[in-house]
Amino acid sequence: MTAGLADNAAPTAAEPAGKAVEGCPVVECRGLTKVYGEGDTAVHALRGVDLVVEPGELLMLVGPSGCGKTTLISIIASVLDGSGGVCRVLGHDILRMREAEKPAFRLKHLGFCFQSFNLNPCLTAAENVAVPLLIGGWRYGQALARSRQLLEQVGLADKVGVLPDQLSGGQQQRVAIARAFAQEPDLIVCDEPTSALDSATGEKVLGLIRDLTHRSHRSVIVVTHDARIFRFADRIVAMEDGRIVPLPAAASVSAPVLTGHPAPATQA
Amino acid sequence: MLVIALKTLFGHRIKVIGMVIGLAVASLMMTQQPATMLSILGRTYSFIEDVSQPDIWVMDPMVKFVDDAKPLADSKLGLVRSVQGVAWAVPIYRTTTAARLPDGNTANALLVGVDDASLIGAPATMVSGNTADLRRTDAVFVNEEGARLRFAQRLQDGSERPLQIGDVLELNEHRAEVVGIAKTGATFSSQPVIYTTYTRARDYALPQRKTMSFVLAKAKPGEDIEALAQRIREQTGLAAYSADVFKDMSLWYFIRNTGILINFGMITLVGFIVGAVVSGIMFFNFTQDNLRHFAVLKAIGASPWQLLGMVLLQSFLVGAIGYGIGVGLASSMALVSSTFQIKFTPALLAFSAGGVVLICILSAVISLLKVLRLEPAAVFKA
Repeated sequence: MTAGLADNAAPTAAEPAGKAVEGCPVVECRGLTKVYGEGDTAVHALRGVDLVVEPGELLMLVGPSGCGKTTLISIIASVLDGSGGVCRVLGHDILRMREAEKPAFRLKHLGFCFQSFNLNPCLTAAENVAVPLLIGGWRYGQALARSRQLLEQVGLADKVGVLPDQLSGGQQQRVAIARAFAQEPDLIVCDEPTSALDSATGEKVLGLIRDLTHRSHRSVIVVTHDARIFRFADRIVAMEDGRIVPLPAAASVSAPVLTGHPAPATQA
Repeated sequence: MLVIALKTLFGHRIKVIGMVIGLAVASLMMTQQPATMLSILGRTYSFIEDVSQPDIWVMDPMVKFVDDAKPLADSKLGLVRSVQGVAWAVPIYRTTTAARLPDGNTANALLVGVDDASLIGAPATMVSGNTADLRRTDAVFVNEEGARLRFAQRLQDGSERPLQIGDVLELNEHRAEVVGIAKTGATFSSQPVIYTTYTRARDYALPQRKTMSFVLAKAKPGEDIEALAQRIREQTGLAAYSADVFKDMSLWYFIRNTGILINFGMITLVGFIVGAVVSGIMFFNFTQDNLRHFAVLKAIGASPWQLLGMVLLQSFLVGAIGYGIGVGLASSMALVSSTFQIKFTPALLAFSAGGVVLICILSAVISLLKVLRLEPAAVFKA
């Protein structure tokens, strides 16, 4: 598993923008704000968020709907502009990064895992996994070979040529996970990855994400409501009304799983 | 990336079929209608093209187009020959006549009398027979289309046989033996064309005091044709035009005095609009259906140029397929039509291809605006 994820050959395309800065946190947000609209109708989605994600850490972001979790990961993932504060990802100031540089930055450093999987129904499982590689300039044959390795690692070696609608929800999410890891990103952003899955499948999927993350020493931010998967986190951060808040009572949040990786103390 | 574009495109078969049909219909209309129009307009000057040797056509000043020949006195021939710079000048005679066929039927035909001595004005290409055979007694040529269609004889078993060498026609109670079948351009009225010598043509036609339709003149080597035409006009009082100018005159007469250009142009425009609307809407719907996947590509890191390439590839591939089918259908329709020959020139095919390219660009631009404005953050919406 580790070898497959670590031995990724370099793509032939031009070097995407930016390199991770050694020794820095993977994510560092200070006083991050996001305001939608103006004047009386302005909605303050983020009200000064401070957050640090360390290398190799699996961080879960929890909180009620509308608390700003998705807005926060959207800004971290550089798919949404922030309004103020600082947000550094791998040492790069996301809020000041030029729009033209963002696609290459995301391609090089970020992986995505979505609530509704977002697999292209016209592409086979292997081709869906190959999408980031093809965007990165890999040749089709090489990309498919790499996709097969990744699908094998997520337990779908026999589903290489299968279309998404012939896969179960759990299998589709595993394909999406393989796609997220395809380019060997430094940070993987998962938005409610288990909400469309039954509990057993959800736990398997999170177990897979944690396994891949820790073996390849990558960082993952998981946005979730699903308390059943809290135990897979290295650290849990709660949000409410656009702010980081103290964690709810232990009754509703299981203790994070402790790993051998250095994880900072749970915030707030 | 292009593989993703192609697989996504062909994953939506129904929409692709709809787009292809729209573009095929547009291509068909944008190819077949202009081709038909050009073929019809080409008939307006086909007689000038068939008579290839002369540089200058001399005629009555009131003539507006080639079928509008007004008889000239034979004495005008000498006047033209006397103009400095004229290498030779010969008469040609054009009139309509009724021909009685071997089976007893009659059909109207265009009768052309060419210079007895030189046979200048006779068709350049013979399907069967030799040009020199026109000097034989009662000899006539018939054009191939006329022999095959209007002059075809109905046999006792009900089948039709084209007019052949050896068949005898009756022209104004004179015997006319077919000694050759000539390949000529079709006439505007689709009448058969009968060629014979100038002298014999006057016998076949109803008696007239003036019989010469045009004088065909050749410039001496090195002579400026337009300058010579001007000299002929000044010295004879007749109209004189180079073959090209006379062709343009005939063409523009028909364009100005018939609704051909407007009518065919409207149908062609309708074809373009229908194709653009149908394909544009379907392509936009196709893109709309795939917006989430475009958003995923943007989120993962696809550049605007890569997305542009994908949309253009999808649009132009559908366009190429539709164009191929449309032009194929237009060609098939032309092939099955035995009575009306349509020519597809490279310029015409380029014209319809340009129309399809324009439709593809319009469709792609509408879709691209949607794709490029798409917020990649949309991927986080369930």
